[in-house]
Amino acid sequence: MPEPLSVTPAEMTAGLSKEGIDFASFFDANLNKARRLAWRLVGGDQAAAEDVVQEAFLKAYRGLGGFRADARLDTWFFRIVVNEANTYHRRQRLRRMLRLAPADEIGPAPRPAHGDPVLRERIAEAIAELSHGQRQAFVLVHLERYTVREAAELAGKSVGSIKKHLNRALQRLREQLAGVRVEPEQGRVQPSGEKTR
Amino acid sequence: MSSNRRERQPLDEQPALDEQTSALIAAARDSYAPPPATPAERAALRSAIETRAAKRRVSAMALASALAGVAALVLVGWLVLRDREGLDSAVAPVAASSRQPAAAPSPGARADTGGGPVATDRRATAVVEAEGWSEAVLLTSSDSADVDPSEEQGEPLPAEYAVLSEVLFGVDEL
Repeated sequence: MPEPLSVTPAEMTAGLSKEGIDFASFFDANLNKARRLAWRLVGGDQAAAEDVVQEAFLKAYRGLGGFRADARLDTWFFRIVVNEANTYHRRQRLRRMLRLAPADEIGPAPRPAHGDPVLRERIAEAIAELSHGQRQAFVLVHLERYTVREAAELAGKSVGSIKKHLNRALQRLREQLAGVRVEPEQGRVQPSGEKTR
Repeated sequence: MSSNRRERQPLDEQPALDEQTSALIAAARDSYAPPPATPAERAALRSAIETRAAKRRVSAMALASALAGVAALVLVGWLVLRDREGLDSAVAPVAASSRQPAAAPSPGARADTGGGPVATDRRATAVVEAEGWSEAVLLTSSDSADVDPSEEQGEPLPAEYAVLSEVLFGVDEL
């Protein structure tokens, strides 16, 4: 097992190990999932998501010494990602309270569409209407496919709290997306009603 | 009755979803996600993390330096104050005795006292000559009929005034 090393920031992601963990491999293995999770949790804001991911990797690297082997490393890391997303939301709420930034500047940044653009836009609008807790539960359980118990562990909440948020999130999403029909086989959206574009 | 009874789900299980909701979620899972990072984006992200780590390291060092500087200033200030207090307490008796003749008739005379017996004598003599006082007025007690220095001072002359004046001004005649 490699000895713990005191490395410079440049060495951090360059292949050296710390606490017996190859951080470069860990970085490569978890980067895409971390980006996706952060992106979803912050509501599609690419800049905010990257900020969350950077901070999470930095904190993970610094905290490797305190990592307990009885927990899975990736679970521990994605809990940091979720916490950083929570911190982002707290800051945004504070900014709104102090009126440091208009609300329309806080929303998702434009980003090239991935997948069905119509469905993506409709779902983004619907998810934007959710509270932070509801969005967090929906993203972790339904989009990231964690179990309710795992989601509760990641979010630092009780299972009951996650289920409550999940039910309310689904209820609101059904209302928001009532006019959207999706063909299960093709995953294609068929807008209908007043919200048809 | 059975319609009011809900089936208890295991704590970890999710509620059952209808087909349309399931399809919607499946579609959202595919579409509501950022595109995978390109190699260039991965490299940029890695570089950004390293830059952030370097900034934090510099900030931590700057903070440590600032705290050390503040601690050093506090220590030096404390040492200077302690030294000054010690000096004050050491010279306090001498200073008190040298200030005592300042109870002379005018504040000007009081300010001119000090600087040793010879200098004090010269200054006092100069004040006496300038003000047209006699040495008796300057050094007399409060029973003088013409000029009562205590009236100008607004405070009674201390009993040892004459003795101190004699010592400090070298006058042996009242």
